[in-house]
Amino acid sequence: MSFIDVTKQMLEAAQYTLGLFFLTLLFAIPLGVIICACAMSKFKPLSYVTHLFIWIIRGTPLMLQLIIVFYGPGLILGIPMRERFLAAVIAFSINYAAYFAEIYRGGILAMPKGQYEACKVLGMSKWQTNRLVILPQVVKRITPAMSNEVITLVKDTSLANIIGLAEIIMTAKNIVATKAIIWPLFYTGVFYLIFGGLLTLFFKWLEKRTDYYKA
Amino acid sequence: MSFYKVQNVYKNFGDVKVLKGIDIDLEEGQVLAIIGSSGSGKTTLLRCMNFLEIPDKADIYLEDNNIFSIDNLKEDIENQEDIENQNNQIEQEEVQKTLAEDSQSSDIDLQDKKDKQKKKKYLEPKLDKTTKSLIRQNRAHFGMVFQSFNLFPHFNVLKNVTLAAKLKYKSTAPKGFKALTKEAKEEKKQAYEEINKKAVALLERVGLGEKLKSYPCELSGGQQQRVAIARALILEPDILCFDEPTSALDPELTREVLKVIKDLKKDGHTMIVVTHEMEFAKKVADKVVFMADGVVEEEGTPEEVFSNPKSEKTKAFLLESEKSIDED
Repeated sequence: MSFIDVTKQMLEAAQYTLGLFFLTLLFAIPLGVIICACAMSKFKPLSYVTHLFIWIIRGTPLMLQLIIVFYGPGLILGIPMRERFLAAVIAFSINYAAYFAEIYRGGILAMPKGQYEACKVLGMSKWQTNRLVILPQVVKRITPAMSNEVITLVKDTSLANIIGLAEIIMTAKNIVATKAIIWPLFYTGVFYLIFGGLLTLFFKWLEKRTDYYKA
Repeated sequence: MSFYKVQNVYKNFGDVKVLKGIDIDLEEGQVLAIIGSSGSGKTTLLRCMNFLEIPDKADIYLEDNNIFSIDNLKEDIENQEDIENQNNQIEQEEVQKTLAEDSQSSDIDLQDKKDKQKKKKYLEPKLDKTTKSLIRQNRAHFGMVFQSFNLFPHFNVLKNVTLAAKLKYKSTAPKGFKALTKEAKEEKKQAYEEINKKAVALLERVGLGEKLKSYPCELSGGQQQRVAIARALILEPDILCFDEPTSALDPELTREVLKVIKDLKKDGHTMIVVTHEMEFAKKVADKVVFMADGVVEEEGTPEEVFSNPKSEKTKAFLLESEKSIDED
C-alpha cells in the first residue's frame, strides 16, 4: 500500500477526528457554563449534586465513559445505540464540560472581590456586572488553561477507537492489521502534530488579543 | 438637622462585634475624617454607610429624609437562641452516643467539638426584595473610592469613567423596538456624547486629560486612584466616600491624590475619608472622628481632636502615630 493511499485513508478518517473535536467543543463549552453555574449555585443541594457529578466524570476514565454511553442504552434500556459517532460526541461533550466547568469556576473565584464591589457602588445590576466586567476578565484568565485542555482533546479523540469509531488511530490499526505494515501507525502522529500546532498558534493569537491589559 | 446623619449603627460579623452603636452627623460640603487604629471598625463603618455591608441596626438620614432603617438585632437574638437550642440538642445527643459507645473520649474531645460547632461561618444577613431594591437606590447617593482602586482593567480610562453613567442612561432609555427609531438613536448618541464630555472634564479636573485612552495597567497608583475618583464623581453622588485612598501609595503619589481631594472640597463636595494621613486630616477635614473598638471615642474639629484630645485612647493613638513618624 503506497504512501498516498494511506494518506488518503487517513485524511478520510481525520474527518471523524475533526468532527468529534469541533462538535465536542461546540457542546462542551456552553454545557460547562451551565455545570459551573450549578456548582456555584447558592442552593446547596444543587451545588452538592453537581460537585458529585463532576467528581464522577473526572474520577473515571474517559474510555470507560465512552463504553458506558455506547453500550449502556442497549443493556439498560433495551434501546441499542447504533451511532458510534453520536455516542462519542455525547461522552466527550459531558466529559470535557465537567473539566471546563472547573476551569471556569477557578477563573471566577480568582476574580478580586473589589471588582464586584466597584460595580455595586456604581449601581450596576448583577447581570451587567457579570457580562461587562467579570466575563471578559475571566475569559482572559482561563485562556491558558483552556488551550491546554483543548489540545488534550485533539489527542483524546483517539480514545473513540474503543467503540469502533473509524478515526485516525482506528484506521491506522486496520491498515496495520490487514496490510502487514507498521509505519501507518507512526504516521498518525504527524496528523496530531499538525493539528495541535495549528491550535497552539490560534491560542497564541487569542492571548495576544487580550494582551493590551493586565488583570 | 444635619445634611447626613447615621444613628445607632451596629454591625456584627458572627460573634465579633465590630460596630457598637455609632452616631455621626455631617453638614453639606463638610469633610469628615475617620481615624483610628487597625481593627477599630472605621472601614466597616464607611462600608455600612454606603451599603457595601448591611448594618445589623442603623437609622440613616439624608437631608432630613430617613433613607434607610434596619433593625435585625432583635431577630438575631432569637436566632441565637435557636442556634443555642440546636447546639444543646446536638451536644446531648453526642453525650448519649459517647455513653452508648462507652468510648474513652475525654472531656477535652467533647469541648473541642463544642468549640467547632460554635465557630460558625459568618453569613451575610438575608434581605427581602424591597430592602434590596431600597439599598440599590440608596447607593446612588454615595460614591466610593477604594484603597485598591478597583478600576476595570479591561477598559480604558475614559470607559472606566463613563461606563456607569451610560448604563444608567440605558436603564431609562426606551427599550426594544422603540430603541430602533431614529429619534431614540439620535437621543442616545447625544446622551453618550454628553457623558463623554462630562467624563473628559472630570478627568481633566483630576489632571488626567491626556490619559483618556490609557489602560489602568499603564498608569501609576496615584493616577489610577485619580481615575477612580473621577469614576465615582460621574454619577454626581451626594457624598463621596474614601476608604484609605492613599494607603497603597508612596508619599509622592499620596500627595497628588490628596491634592485632588482638597480641590474637591473647594468645589463643595461632601466627603467622608477614612485615613491614616494625620496631617491630611488636620489640614483638610472639618470634622474628625476617632474610633476605637467599634465606638466613637472622640469627635470634633481637627483642633479639638489633635491639639486637645480628651480621651486617653485618643492621646495614646496620636502619640503612637507621631512616634512612628519620628522613627522613620
